[in-house]
Amino acid sequence: MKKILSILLCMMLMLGMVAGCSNGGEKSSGKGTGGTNGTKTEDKAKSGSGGRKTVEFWHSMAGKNGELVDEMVKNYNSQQDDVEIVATFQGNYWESASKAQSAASVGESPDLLMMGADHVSIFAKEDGVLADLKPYMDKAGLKKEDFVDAFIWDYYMDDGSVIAIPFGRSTPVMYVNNDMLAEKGLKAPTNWDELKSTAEAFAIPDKQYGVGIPGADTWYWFMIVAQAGGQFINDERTGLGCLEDGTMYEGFKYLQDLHNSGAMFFGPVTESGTVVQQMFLEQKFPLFINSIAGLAAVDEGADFNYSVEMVPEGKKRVVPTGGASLVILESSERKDEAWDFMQWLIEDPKGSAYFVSNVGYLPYTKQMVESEPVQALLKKNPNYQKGIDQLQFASDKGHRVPQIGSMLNDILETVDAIMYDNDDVQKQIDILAPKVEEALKED
Amino acid sequence: MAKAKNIVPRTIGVIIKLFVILVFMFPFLWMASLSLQTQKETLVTTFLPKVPQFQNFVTAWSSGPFALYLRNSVVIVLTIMVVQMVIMVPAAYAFAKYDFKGKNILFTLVLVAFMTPTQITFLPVYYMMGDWNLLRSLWPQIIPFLSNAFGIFLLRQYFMQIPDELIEAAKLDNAGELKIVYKVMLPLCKPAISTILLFGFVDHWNDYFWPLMMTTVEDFRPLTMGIAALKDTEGIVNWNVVMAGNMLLVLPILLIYVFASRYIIKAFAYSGIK
Repeated sequence: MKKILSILLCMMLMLGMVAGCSNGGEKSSGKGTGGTNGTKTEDKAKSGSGGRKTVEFWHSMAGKNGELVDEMVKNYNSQQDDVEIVATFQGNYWESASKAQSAASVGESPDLLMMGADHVSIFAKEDGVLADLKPYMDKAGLKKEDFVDAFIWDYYMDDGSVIAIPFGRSTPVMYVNNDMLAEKGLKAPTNWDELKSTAEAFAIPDKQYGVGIPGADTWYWFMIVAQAGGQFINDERTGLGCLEDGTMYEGFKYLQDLHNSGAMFFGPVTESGTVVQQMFLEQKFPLFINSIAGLAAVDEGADFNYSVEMVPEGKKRVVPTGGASLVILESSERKDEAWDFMQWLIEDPKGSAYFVSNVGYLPYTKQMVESEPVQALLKKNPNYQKGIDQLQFASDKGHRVPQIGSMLNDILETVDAIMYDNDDVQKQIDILAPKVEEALKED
Repeated sequence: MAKAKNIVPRTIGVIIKLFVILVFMFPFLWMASLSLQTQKETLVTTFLPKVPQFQNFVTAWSSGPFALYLRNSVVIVLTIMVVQMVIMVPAAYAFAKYDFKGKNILFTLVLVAFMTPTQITFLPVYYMMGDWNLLRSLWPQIIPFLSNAFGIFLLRQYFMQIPDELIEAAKLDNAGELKIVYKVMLPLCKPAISTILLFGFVDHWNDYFWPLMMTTVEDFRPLTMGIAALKDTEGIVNWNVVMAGNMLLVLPILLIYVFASRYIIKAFAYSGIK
């Protein structure tokens, strides 16, 4: 026992020394900035390899997408000698935003941050958190008109500043298993009525469905309200704009009824996108409404004749946008360098054009549509064109207000109650309405 | 006749046990199967791969700095285990065998700590680590766990069952307090120690939330974060590679459990010293 205790104590001492003084040991293939103990912002402005200025870039891309980000960063770093971008995966959009918020308080914020499109508002609400990119854009000759309006309109603030640039942006589309439709002599639906009848034609209780939609994502719910002809938040930004005209009820009830009839598979709370996508690839349903960013995955996994179509329209044809945008934090001491990388991403074919074309995200500038990687993707997979064509119907103006980030959880609770618990739609809307009003009161 | 009577209930018992085993084993078996499948095989329900793809383990391992992640995991967990032993044992002994002012309040605080989830405390701890300039090191993943409320609680219960006569006898032999704790009390609590260490090992080895919140650079990330990064946020998920990564993560726990299982069973079936 004495011997074991001695060994344990020795190990503890050794490990303590190793842990405390750790310099990170094996360098993590260019990622991470080395193991100096607890550096605050003023210490972070240090040199990377070869005396280059480091810019910390936090992103939410893992797996293959993470590899693409790494490749992009590698391309940028190898093209110049002044700046080294250090890209680190920080979890999903929610986790990354939470970390950035807490990191700000202790001087550990990144310079450049990838944020979910709906999460930018969380930071944008507070003054002085996000750097104004307008001066940089003016200097680079970039104008609002150069960008796809649906992806940038909400980043132009009332005071004339610009707080974010699109990065991996997307809209929902409808993936169609044409083989399954052909067996029943059906075509891809173009409106809600056709979607309902086509989906019901395939429904076999608990075995097969007509359409699959991932759960736990608010954008489908913004979409269904807009397609019903409504506006999620009213013009005065005091509450729900889709209550009195009944469009929220109409849209939510449509999806609930489709689900209850067995024609729709609504994804689970977690891993929803991957579960529903897998089921589509296993041919459990012929119609799958999901992000265009899933195109590469569907293309790789589909053993059947598939196509991409626009999402069926309701009274109006509207699709929301999603994906991620990039912001520079005001606390950064490397804003110029961070912008240099951002500009490179916008303009260089090895930047965002390379990234979006390998994943299926949509090009966010007009120049990017014409770039070589995007054109190559269009040649390889003409389905991608449908996503680009649908952009003309993309709009978040009905719901993307500065406080939207604060409401997302409440909206998801409503969705969960309606879809998983089959609760009364009007009752849930009545519960949601005051929460939205409360959230909108925040400055 | 008695034998024949016994066969039916015994058979039913065996069937039920097999069913329970299957229910608990199935996720592990499924994980193992997925880790050996091709990407295409994972897209449909495949129980057994046609040709085991051991390459998936290589792919998972080489997708990031896994040697670094593994080193970090080992350092973090071992440091926590060792220091917990040093802090927990005397604390449990004091609570079990001593009467002192504030003992009940202190023990209540231990129970409160036991019941408080880390998701509540991460933010103030994060700020503390930031103020102490420790964020870019492994310490934020170690310091908050250097004591173990569950361990103190379980050991205290064990120590309380050890007769005071044993301690008095040791004192008569001129044994000091340290000797009494580590030579008399501790050997009688091997099952409890094994349980605490195993549960602690599993807890900290599998921890994802705390390292996610406390680390912003790759250099200090443990294995769990490396595994999480295998999974694509959008697009196709290579479940075969993700599961191969999970197998690498789970293997040490399974190995340790194989050696420590009898002690755990003893710990929960402890019936007192004769």
